[in-house]
Amino acid sequence: MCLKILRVMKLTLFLFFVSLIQVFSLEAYSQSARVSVNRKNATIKEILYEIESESDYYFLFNSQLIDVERKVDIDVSDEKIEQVLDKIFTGQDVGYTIMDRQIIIRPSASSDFRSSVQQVRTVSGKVTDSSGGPLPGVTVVIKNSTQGTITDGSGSYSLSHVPADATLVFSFVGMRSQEIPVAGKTAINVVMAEETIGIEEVVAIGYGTQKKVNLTGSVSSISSETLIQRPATNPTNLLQGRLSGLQVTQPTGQPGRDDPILQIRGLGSFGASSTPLIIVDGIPGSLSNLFPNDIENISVLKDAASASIYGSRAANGVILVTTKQAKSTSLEYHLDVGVHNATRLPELITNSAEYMEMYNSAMQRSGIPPIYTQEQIEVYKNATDQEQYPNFDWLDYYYNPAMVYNHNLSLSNVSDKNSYRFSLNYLNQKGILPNIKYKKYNASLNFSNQVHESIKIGTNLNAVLKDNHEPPNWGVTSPLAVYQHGPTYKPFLPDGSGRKVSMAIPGEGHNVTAPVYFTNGSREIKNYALTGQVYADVNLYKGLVWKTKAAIDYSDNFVKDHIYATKEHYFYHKLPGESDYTLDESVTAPAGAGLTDYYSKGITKSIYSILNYESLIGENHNIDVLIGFEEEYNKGQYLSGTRRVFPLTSIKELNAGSSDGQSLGGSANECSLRSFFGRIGYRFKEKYMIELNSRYDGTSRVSKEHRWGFFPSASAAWRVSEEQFVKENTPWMDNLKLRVSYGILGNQQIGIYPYQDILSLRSYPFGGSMSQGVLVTRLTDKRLRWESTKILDLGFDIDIKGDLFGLTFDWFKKNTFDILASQPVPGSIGISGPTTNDGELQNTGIEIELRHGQKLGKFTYHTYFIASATKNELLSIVSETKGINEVGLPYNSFYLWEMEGIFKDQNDIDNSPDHIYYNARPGDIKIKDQNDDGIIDADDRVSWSRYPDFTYSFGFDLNWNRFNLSGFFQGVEGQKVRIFGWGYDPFVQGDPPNTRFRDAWSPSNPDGKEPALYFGSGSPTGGYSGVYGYPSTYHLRDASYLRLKNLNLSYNFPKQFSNILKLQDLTIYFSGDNLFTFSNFPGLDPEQPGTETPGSAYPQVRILNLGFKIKL
Amino acid sequence: MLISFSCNEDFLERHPLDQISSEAFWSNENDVRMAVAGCYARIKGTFFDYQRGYLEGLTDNAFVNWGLYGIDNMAMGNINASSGGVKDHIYNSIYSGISMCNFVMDNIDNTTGVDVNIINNAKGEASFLRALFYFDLANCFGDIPLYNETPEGAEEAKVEKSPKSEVLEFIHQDLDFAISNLPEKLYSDGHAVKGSAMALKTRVLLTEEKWTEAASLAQQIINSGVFSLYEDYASMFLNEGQSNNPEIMFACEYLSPDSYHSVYGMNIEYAKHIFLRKDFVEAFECIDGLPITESPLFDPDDPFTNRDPRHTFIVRNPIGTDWEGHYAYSNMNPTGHQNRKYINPEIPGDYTNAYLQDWNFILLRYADVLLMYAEAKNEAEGPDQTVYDAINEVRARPSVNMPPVDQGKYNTKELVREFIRKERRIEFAMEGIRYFDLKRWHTAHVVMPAIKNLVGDPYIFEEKHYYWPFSQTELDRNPNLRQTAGY
Repeated sequence: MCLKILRVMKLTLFLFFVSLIQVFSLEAYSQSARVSVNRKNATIKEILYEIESESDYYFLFNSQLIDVERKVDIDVSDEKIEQVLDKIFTGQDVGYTIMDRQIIIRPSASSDFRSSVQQVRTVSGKVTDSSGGPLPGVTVVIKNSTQGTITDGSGSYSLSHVPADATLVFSFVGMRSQEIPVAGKTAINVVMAEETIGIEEVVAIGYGTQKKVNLTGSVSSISSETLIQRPATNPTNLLQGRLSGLQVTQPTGQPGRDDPILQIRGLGSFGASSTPLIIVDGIPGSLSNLFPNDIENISVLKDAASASIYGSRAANGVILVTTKQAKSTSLEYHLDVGVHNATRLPELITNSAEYMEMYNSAMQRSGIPPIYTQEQIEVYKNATDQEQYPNFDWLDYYYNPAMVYNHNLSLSNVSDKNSYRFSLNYLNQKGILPNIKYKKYNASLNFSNQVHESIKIGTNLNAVLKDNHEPPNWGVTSPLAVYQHGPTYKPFLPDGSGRKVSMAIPGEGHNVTAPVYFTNGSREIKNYALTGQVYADVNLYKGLVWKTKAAIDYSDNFVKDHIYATKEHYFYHKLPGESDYTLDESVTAPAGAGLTDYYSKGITKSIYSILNYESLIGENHNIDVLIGFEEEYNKGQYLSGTRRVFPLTSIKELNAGSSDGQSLGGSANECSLRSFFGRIGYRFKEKYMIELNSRYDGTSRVSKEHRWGFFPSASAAWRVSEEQFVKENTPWMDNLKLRVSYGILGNQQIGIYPYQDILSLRSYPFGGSMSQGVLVTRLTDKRLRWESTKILDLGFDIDIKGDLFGLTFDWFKKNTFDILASQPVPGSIGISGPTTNDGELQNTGIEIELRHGQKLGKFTYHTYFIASATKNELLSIVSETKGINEVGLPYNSFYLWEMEGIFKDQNDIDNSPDHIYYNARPGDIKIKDQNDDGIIDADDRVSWSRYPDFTYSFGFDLNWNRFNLSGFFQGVEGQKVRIFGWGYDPFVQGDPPNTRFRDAWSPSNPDGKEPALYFGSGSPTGGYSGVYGYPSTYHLRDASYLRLKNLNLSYNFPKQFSNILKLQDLTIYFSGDNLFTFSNFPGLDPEQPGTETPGSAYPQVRILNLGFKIKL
Repeated sequence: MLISFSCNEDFLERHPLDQISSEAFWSNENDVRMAVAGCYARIKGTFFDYQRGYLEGLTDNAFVNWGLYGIDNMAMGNINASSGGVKDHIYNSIYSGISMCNFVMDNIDNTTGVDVNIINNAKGEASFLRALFYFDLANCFGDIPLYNETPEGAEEAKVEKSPKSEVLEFIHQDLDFAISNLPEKLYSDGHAVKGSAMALKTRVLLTEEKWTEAASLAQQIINSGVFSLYEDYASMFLNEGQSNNPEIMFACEYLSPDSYHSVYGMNIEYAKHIFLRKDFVEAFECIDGLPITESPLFDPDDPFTNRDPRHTFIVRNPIGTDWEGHYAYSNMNPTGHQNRKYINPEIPGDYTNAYLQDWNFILLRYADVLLMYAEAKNEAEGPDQTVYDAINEVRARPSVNMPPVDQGKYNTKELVREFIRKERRIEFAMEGIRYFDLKRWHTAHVVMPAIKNLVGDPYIFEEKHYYWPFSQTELDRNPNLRQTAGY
C-alpha cells in the first residue's frame, strides 16, 4: 500500500509541474484539434459519442429535434470538426455552432417542419442567466409539439412557424424551466433562473457529488445564494435556521468571538467533542476562515450512510463546504455597510435614590448595617445637580451602535484550458462596547488547468488574517464590568480631571471598574491561517477517474495580552473634611498585570487519493465504486513569555520590560490518522438503489492493540415515483422516494494521549532555585478505544409538480456507545480516575423540511419550513448522579427545587412544608413539596432537560419584476436556561437590580412577584443571603424564542440602466438581522452563550445593513 | 508541496512531547530527585501552604471573610456530608500528596546504580512528608482510609477506614524512618532534616498525650543544639528573616517569580480575608506581663501602647496610623481589627506585585518545640524549673522581651497549663496551629460557643465537630467507608 502512496505522491508532483508548463500554452481547442472516425452503418448518436470519447468535444442537442438515430457511414481521419459534422449531416436541415469544445447542434433556422392553417410567425429572442450572461444550448420547444430549437453561442434563438396561441417551453440543465405564452409576440427574451431546490440538484457528498434524486442517505444542503442573503459576517452563523437537523447556537454577538456551537442531531457525546467534522474542499478545515461570498455550497451529512466514509471523525456528522470555482469570466464587487445594536439589554434601576433604598434593604436583610444614610438618599432624591448626584445609566453610556464594513471583490476567468477565481475580502467590524474591534482579511485563489484531455490539475489557496482586538483578560461574560456599577456615580470625577471613579462613597460593594477594562490595556489576537491544496484528477478510462489531493493547513496565532495598573480610583464624593477626592484604596490593580506574548502554531498535513469508477451496464444497471486512502498528521506548539514591570504603559513589547518576575512557557503535541475507505453504489433503472460505505481508520490516539477501527454503513432507497403504476396514476408526482440507512461512526476527538501513562511536571523551590519535580496525576486504561455511534435513519422525499410542493422527512435513532468517561474513584486514591469507554447516550428525533413555490405572472415565490426535534436520553454512565446524569433522563439535566411562589408572611411559612435546608423568612422562595411528605429536602428536587423540545425555522423568497424580498424566522421551543448573576440577580458586586425588583416582596408589599431583595453573589460577609445559595427554578427560565432572523429587500437594476454604468449587473439591497424577537425570557437575550450563564454576556446584535453588488 | 509521510506503523505512534512517560522513569539519580521534588510540590494546595492561616477562622482568633472555603459557615456548625468547603479540599488534596509519597516509596528501590544513601535520604523525605500529610488527616477526620502503598486500582482503593490509633502508629513508623535517615543539620534549603521529623513526632506524641515521650523527644531536640530562637519575631515571617533562620524547622517554600503565593499575593489575602476577633486582640498582655484587665499600664483609649510587642507585630494599628496607603481596607471591616502578620508593607498592595511575594510559610519552628516541651513536661510531672525556663525562653526573645512567668502566681500544673495555652495562642497566631491545639486540648466546644459571629449569634461547636464528616461523594464512591460518628 505504501509504495503506491509514494507513487501517487510522485505523480501528483509531476502533474503539478506539467500544469505549470501548460498554463503558458493557451490556444483555442478547435483551432488545433483533429478528429478521426471510421464507422459503417452507425447511428449519428453513436458517432457523436465516439467523437466525444476521442476528443474533448461534447455535443448539446435535443433528440426530439434532431434525428440522431439515422444511420450513416463515415470515414475521416485528422479532419477538423466542421468538416466531419458537415459530412454527418449532409442533406439535413441541421446547423451547428462550435464554441471551443462545446458544439450545439440544432435544426437550421430555415427548416420547415410542417405547414399550418393557423396564423403562424417566427419568434426570436435571447436567453440569459440571472446575471445577464448569454445562455447557449437552451432548448426552446413549442409546447405539446416536437418543434423547437436550441440557442446559439450568443444565447439567441429563432423559431419559425409558431402558432400565435402557442406556449414556448425553455429548459436547460440546472435551470428552472419556464413556459411563456407567445400571445402574438415575435420577440421573447427570457432570463433563466438557477434551479436551487429541484430534484435535479447536485449535492456534495463524501469524496464526490451526487444528484439529490439519487441520494440514499440523509443530506441537507444550502447554496451560496441563500447563504449570503443574511449580512452576518461569520459564515458559520449563516447556517442557522437553514438546514434541518443542524442546530447553530451563536454564543455572543462579539465580533471575532461569534463562532457558533454546531450540533447535528443532538448532543452526541459527553466524553469527547460533540462538534461536527468540517471539510472544506475535501480536507478538514475551518468555516470561519472563509468569507460567505466564496462559498458555493454547504452540505450536511447527517446519517451514518452519508458520513461513514469519514469513519472515526464522523460521529457528530460532517459539514462539507465547497468553495466557488470560476464559471464564467467576470469581475464582481460587493459592499455591505451595517450598523450593529444590542438586540436587547436588561432594564436596570438607574434612579440613584431608589437604588440606595433597595441596597439598604438588601443589607438589612443580610444582617449588615445599611451603608446609605437617609440624608444621602435625600440629597440624591432632591438633587438638581445631575453632575454631582447623577442617575447614571452605565449600560446606555457604554453600549453604542457600531459600524461594520464588508468588501468582497472577486475575479473569475474561464479560458480554453484554464479557469481561475480570485477573491479578496475585507471585513471591518467594531464592537458595541468600547475597546473591541475586529478585522478579517482574506485572499483566495481557486485555479484549475486541463493539462491533457484526461488530466486536470488545480489548486485551492486560501489565506486569512483575523485581527481581533478586545479588552484585557476578556471573556464571554466580561461585560459584567459594565453591569456592576451603581447609578450613583459616573466613570470619571465630576471635576473634569479625567480621574477614574470606583464608587460614590466608601462601602459600596463595587469591584473592578469598567473604565479599567476599556482603557488599561488590551488583548490583541492575530490569527493567520493558510490553506493550500493541490489536486490532480485523471480520467484513466471511460468512467474511471483517479483523484488525488494533498493539502497543508497552517495556522499561526499571536496573542498580546497587555494590562497595566492604575491606582487612580477615587470616591465620587469628597469625604467630609477633605479638600480633594479621596483615593479608593480598596481598588487594587488588575490581577495578572504586565504583558504576555503567546505564540502558537499548528500544522496539518493531509493527502488522499481515490479511484472512482462509474458505469451504466446495459440499460438498467448503474454502478459506482470508490476506493481511497487518506493520511493526516497534525502538530501544534506554543511559546509564551510574560514580563510584569514596564516603565511606560504605552510600551507593549517584552524587551522593554524588566526581567523581574518574567516567566516562560512552551509545549507541543502531535497526532496522526491513517485511513482506507470505499463506497459501492448500485442503481437499478434509477428506481432501486443501494449504497455501501465504509472506512477503516487507524489513529495515534489509541494504543496499538486497539488502534484500528472499522466503520461500515449501508443504505437503500426506492423511487416509488419511477414505478409505472405511479407514473400513470399520479403524473404530478415528480418524485417519491423512500430511504433507509444504518451504520456505525467513530469519534476520535478523545484527547491526544488518553491511553498513555504520563508524569506531569511541577517544580518546587529548593535552596534558592526551582527544582523540577514529577507528579502522578491519573490512572490510565490501556484498552481505551474511540467512541462509536450507530445511526438508523428512515426517511422519504416527495416532490410534486416541480417547485409546487416538496417534503423531506427523516426519523433517526442515534446511539453513541463506548463514550469516554472519567471513572469516579475515591478521593483517597489521590489521583484522578482512569478514562474508560463506558457511557451510552441515545438521541432519537425527526426532521421535517417543507417547500412550496409558485409562479404567478411576474410574481414568483418560494417558501420553506424546517423543524427538528431530538430527544436525548442517557442509557448508561459510570457514575450516575441523581437527577442530573441519571439513566433515562437527558444528559446533564438541571436538578432543582421547583419554585412555587414567595412566602408572604410568617403565617405562610408556618403553614407550608418545612424548608429544612434554610431558615426561610417571609419574602423567600417557597419550594414545592413534590412528594407531599411535609418536608422540603433533597428528594423534592426535579429534573429539567437542558435541550429544546424542537427547533424550527421558516422563510420565504418573493420575486416581482426586479424586486426580491426574502426573509426567515428562526425559533427554539422549550429551551431552559439557568440565568444568574449580573443583569439578573440584584447587587452582584453592587450591580443595580433589574427593574422587575420594583415588585420585590417587602413587608409593605407582601404580594410582590419577586423575592425580597438579596445579594446575588451571597452576602458580602457570608451571612444570610436570601434566595442565593439554594438551587431552585427561580433561576431557571424558559428561553424559547421566535425571531425574525433576517429580512432582505433587493432591487436588480434594468440592463438599460446598468449598461450606462458599463456594468453587466447592479443590485442594491437592504437587509436586517434579528429584527424582532418573541420571547418571555427575562434575561439579556434568549440566545445565550450557554444554558447556565450570567445575564451579562456580550449581547446578540441587531444588524441593519445596506449593500450593493456589481458585476463587470 | 513538501509532505513527507512515513510508511511504517511509526506514523501512528505518537507520544507526549512535553511530559514524561512513566515507563521510562526510575532509571537514575535525577529521577529520584524529581520524584521527591514532586512530593514536596504536593505541599502546596493542601493547606500546608500559605492558606493554612485561614484555619484561624475556625477558632476564636480570627474571622475569615467572603465565605472563603466555607470556613465561617463551618465555624457556625454547618458541617455535613454535603457542606463542602475546606474539609473536602483538605481531604482530596492531602490524599494526592500521599499518593505521590506512596509512588516514591513503592518504586524507588527499583532504581539501580544510585548510591544507597541518596535512596535512603529520599525515602526519609518521602516518609516525613507522608507522615505530615496523614497527621493532618487524622487530626481532621479521626479514622481514615490508610494506604501504606499505592492501591492496585480503583477497586482496591475502596477500603474501610483505619482507626486513628493505627494511622498514628503508621505515622510514627514513617517518622522514625525519617529521623534515622535524614541529616542532622539546620533546615535551610527546603529539604526536611532530622529535626523536622523529630519536631513533628513530638507534636504527634503530644496529640496522643504521651507526655513523657513527648517531653523526652523535645528535650533531645533542645539538647542537640542545632536549632535556636530567632531574634526578630516580625521578620521571621517575611523574606528578610527567613534565610538560614535557626528557628525554622520546616516550611512551605516559595521563590519569585516562578513560585509565589497566589495571583493576589499573601499581602492582600491576609489583609482582606483574615480579620482578628476582639477576643484575640484583647488576649495580649501588657508589657508588665499582666492581662489588660489587671495591668495599670493598659489605656483603653490607646490600646496599642504598653502591650506585648507581638501585639504590634500581629495586630494592625487602626487605619491610617501605620503603613499609609497599603491595604487600607476600610470598607466592610467586619471585626474592626486587621491582621498584619505575614504581610510585607514594603510591597504595594495590588495584584501587580503579587509575584514578588514569596516568603515561606512556616510549618514547624523551634519556639513550638520549647512550648511543647513545657506542656509535655508540665502534664507529665507538673511545673519544674525546666518548664518555666522553656516558656521564659520564648517570651524573652530579644524582639519580644516579655517578663518571665510569675512563678509565684502560676504555681500549679493547672495554672501553668493555662499559661502555656495562652502563650501558644499569642506566639503561633495566624500559623494555623490553634485549631489543632483547641482540638488536642478538647476545649473547642467551650471556646467557640463563647464567641459570637457578626450578627451576634454564638458559634457552634459540638462534640461531633471534633472530627469532620466525609463528603457524600466520597461515601458514594467508596461503599466501604463509614461516615464519621455523629453525622
